[in-house]
Amino acid sequence: MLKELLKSKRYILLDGAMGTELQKRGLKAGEDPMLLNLTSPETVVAVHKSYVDSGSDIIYTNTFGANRFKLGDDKTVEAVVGAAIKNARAAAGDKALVALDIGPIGRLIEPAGDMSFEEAYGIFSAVVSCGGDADLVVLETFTELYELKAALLAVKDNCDLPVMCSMSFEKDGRTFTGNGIEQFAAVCDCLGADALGINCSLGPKELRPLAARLCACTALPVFLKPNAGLPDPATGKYTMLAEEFAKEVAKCYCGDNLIFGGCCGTAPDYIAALGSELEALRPLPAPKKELGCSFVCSSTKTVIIDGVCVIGERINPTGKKKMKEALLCGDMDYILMQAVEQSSAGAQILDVNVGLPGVNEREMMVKAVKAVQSVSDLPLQLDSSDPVALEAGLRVANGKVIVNSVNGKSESLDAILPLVKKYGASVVALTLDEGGIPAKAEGRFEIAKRIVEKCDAMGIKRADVFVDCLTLTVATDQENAMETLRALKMCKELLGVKTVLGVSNISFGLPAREKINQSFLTMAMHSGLDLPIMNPNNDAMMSAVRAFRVLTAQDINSREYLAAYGEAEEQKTAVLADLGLEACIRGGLRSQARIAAASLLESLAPMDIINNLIIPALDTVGEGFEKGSVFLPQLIQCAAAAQSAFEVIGERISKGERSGDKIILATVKNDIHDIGKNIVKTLLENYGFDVIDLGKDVAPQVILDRVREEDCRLLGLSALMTTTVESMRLTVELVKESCPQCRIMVGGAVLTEDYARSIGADFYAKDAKASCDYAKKIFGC
Amino acid sequence: MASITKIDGYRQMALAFLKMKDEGESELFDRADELILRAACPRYCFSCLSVKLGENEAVLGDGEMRLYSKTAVKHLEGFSKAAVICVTLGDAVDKAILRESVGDLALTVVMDAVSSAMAERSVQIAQSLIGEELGVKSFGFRFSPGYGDLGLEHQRRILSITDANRRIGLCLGEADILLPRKSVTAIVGMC
Repeated sequence: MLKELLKSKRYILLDGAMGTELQKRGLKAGEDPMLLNLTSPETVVAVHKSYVDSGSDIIYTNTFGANRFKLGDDKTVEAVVGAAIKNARAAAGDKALVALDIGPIGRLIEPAGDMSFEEAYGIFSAVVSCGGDADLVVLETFTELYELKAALLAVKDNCDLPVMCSMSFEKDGRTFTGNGIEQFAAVCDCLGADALGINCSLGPKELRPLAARLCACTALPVFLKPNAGLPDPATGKYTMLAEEFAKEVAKCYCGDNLIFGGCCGTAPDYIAALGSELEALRPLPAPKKELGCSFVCSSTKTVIIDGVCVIGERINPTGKKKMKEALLCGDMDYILMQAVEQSSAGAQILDVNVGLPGVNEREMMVKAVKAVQSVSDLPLQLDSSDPVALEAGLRVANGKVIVNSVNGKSESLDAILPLVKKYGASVVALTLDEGGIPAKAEGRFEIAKRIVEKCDAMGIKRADVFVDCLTLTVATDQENAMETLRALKMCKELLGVKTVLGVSNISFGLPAREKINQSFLTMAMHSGLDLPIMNPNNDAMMSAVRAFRVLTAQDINSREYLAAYGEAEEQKTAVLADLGLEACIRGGLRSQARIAAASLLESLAPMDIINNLIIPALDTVGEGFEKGSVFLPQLIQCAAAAQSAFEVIGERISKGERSGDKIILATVKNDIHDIGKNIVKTLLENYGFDVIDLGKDVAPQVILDRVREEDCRLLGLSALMTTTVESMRLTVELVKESCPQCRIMVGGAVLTEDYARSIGADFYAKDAKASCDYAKKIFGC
Repeated sequence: MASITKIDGYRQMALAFLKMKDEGESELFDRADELILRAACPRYCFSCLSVKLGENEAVLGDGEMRLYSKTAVKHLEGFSKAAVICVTLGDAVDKAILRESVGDLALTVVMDAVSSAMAERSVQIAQSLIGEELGVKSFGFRFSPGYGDLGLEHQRRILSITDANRRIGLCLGEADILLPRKSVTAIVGMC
């Protein structure tokens, strides 16, 4: 119906504000406008009718905040949505389409907020499920792209109605949470939105440049619903009059679609004035748009692939012992560290591979994607051979991602390409099939051609297909390097696709691998490689990329190259060469402590270093903290220095040499503060305790289950809000009832010794040092 | 909604949060400043409401907000109007702190203190800007939910009256925690 409307009319009028119109008709301050659908339907119908009579072709139902969170339960949602559609239909008749209006939930979504993606999806699904009688759905006024994605997926999964998506941007073209217009367009386009728009926040004058930007980055119809100017700061009222509003909105027309309405401060006469203005508008030629480029994006950053773009490969367990251990014990901190390090080292896209025997890949993919997104704004490449894990990752990824990978086998084409199409991802296409990897470039080219043609048939753009001609080691056949490069060139030139390659395989089996890898990388880039998958922390490889970018003028004025290599590094450690390990720890000198510990291992036993040097140094620092001569940041720096020494010594200690007594730590349910808990964790680990960190916002039952499973003797709970200490009380009660042998220490800014005693805790820890002292006492250290 | 373009004068408050007299070697504080200032996008919104006082209750507007609080009555005494102010530094600050927490806990602790101090200072600045805009002659003592006997349960109404969710992207999480985390709400009498 939407498509027909767009074809049949030169311009389409949406409606205007609902809330203020209801207020004019008696809605009281503080009263919920949505409930009038049930309590005073004739009032709602009257507002809708006034817009239809003013020329609106699409009216939005009075359901902006109709969701479980705001209305309390799904039954009320169903009642309100049902009545709202009925009211709109009564006014629209056959003159206008009825759009089910869905706004944001009103909570902040993860990672900054406490609402999970899945919870948001569930809330939106419940609304969509009872809105089937509308003609289309409009998702409007979103300021967080992740939440909008949850809503859009909910629409796509639960109904067949067309869907229009609009966000509210600030003057700089970003939402409150940093999402840009281009990222909004990319994500919604990928997922099959039918029209994209901007509404609220701004008046037509301020919105005009943003509208032009949105038109330039999408082929979809664009719609605008500005406010009636900017509100008076003292009164909150909008003062732009209807005629001026209509003239300013009409100036937003740039030859593209004409779908306009009004948001806050507008009324039926604004829509009527807009209609007159648009009627008189001289048509302009449709603007030229450059939409064929290859790109991926996160929710805040777009990476256009028009030169060499590095894909960081470190989040992958293959051949990496520490990553395997991290995945097996669910250590997300290690994965986060890899994401942050690679981002700092110059990666532009991050590969995420969590496939490992013993790990539930689907669950871990979701966790890893969410974790990496929380600390990095780089777009992602989801790397898995399991379509189930891939789809799970595609759903929770916040942006346009790359799927790694599909290959020429029919099983792979059938399983992977539909996912790529459904979620609008780009895809890595491997040149292998049932016959294996062809030895010659021509054979690999034929497979690539077959995959690309299959993508063409499914509507997956060539710009979204990145061909990987596969790197085989020259140790077994020296022809391998040139065959890969020949295949790469053919695919690039004859198929018009971007190319990707994991380069380090080339040297497998040879010594001094880095020398071969670096040369092969340079040769590959010269042959047209766009996306090397490599370790960005390796300076030899990154310097090859940076040098190539200078030599091909990709790095304009060598800016990036100069930033990386322009200044000589100062030798900071020279003066400190004689500092002993204790002094390094007391001074909070991380890298020096590591060097000192390594040096001491040549002459001292590991446990002697720990017991006679590191622990006394930590004790001295701890005493200083108690006396007030050492402050919290310094305490932590000293602990970090000790930790770096432990990392060196740790490999030389056998299990059982350190106490390894288990302590479980958690921030209680509904509380998301965890810095204090993390400080306690660092200090406890320094003293040799095996700390199991359950994280934040942890339910009492989860804590109890883990205490039982680990047969734990000491539990530490943290709460920083008066509203969450109740969760602490419940947790203490639950654990004490079932595991009376487990001692419980509690800490947090709002706690007191009296409260701790009253809830049955065994110890009130006023700070991190006190927690350590108590732990040492409990375990007899 | 309005943006705050410059925030200063928060270093002492940050030190106080960490119970420090001075920053010692300032490298850590300078780095924390740099990261927080890069991420922060301070915004505020407010509503002006009339004030009527009872013995233990302050009624703002036409019953739009009822503060059952002796603290509120005490600090609104003598004022016929009040500003209800909401300020946030934005969620990029929370993400920046989370990012650094992976590698450098000491820096994270300082960033946390610096951003909390910055949020508090932002309320002071917002109040001054509101005063300039409205020609306010004097303000009373500014107070927030959680101070005295004014409970955190009032946050919901404050966000609703000021339309803070739509105007500056401020929400409430479970247990009435303000999100993004470096946010402050406050009430202040004015004349």
